[in-house]
Amino acid sequence: MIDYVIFLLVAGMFIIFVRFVKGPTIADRVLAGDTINSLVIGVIVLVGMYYKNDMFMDIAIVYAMISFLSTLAVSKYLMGRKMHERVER
Amino acid sequence: MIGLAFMIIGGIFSIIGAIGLVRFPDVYTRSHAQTVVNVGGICMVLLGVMAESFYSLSFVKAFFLVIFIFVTSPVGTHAITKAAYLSGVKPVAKRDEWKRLKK
Repeated sequence: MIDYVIFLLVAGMFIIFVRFVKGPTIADRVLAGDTINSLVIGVIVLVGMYYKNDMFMDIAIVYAMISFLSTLAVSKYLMGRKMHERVER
Repeated sequence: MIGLAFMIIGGIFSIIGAIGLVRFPDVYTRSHAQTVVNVGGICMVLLGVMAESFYSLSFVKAFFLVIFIFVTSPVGTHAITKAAYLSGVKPVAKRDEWKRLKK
């Protein structure tokens, strides 16, 4: 029964990937990447439930910390730039 | 059994949030859909894992993961939307309450 839940999460990941490809600004892509990261956390935990192994949960905790740090770093890096203007020549 | 119900509800929530993330018109409204995926989806799945593996070590790990996601998801979303606002992405809404941030 857990495999159906994994299927639901992966389907959500594919739907979000549309926004990740065609986002008009960079902030959309960062937001979609953060959401895909949190879905990957759920998939890792459920795979650990499927194989009945506790070690996957540690991997999920470390993945959550690293994804949070990467989100903060990228948003801090993008804070002063122009995102929405087109490049004029 | 109740854990499986929680997991399926979390999967449905994450599908709904993904559709919202594609269909909403703006960065600031998409952040709402992202919160639906994070809190409604992944925290619900982790509550299901907690109910499924009661009295074991993975219960404690899932509990810490739930607390961590609950704390860090709004922080990340605020950081992204503040970066988007300060770099000039126009919101869809007419009323703009945060003009003083832009100097």
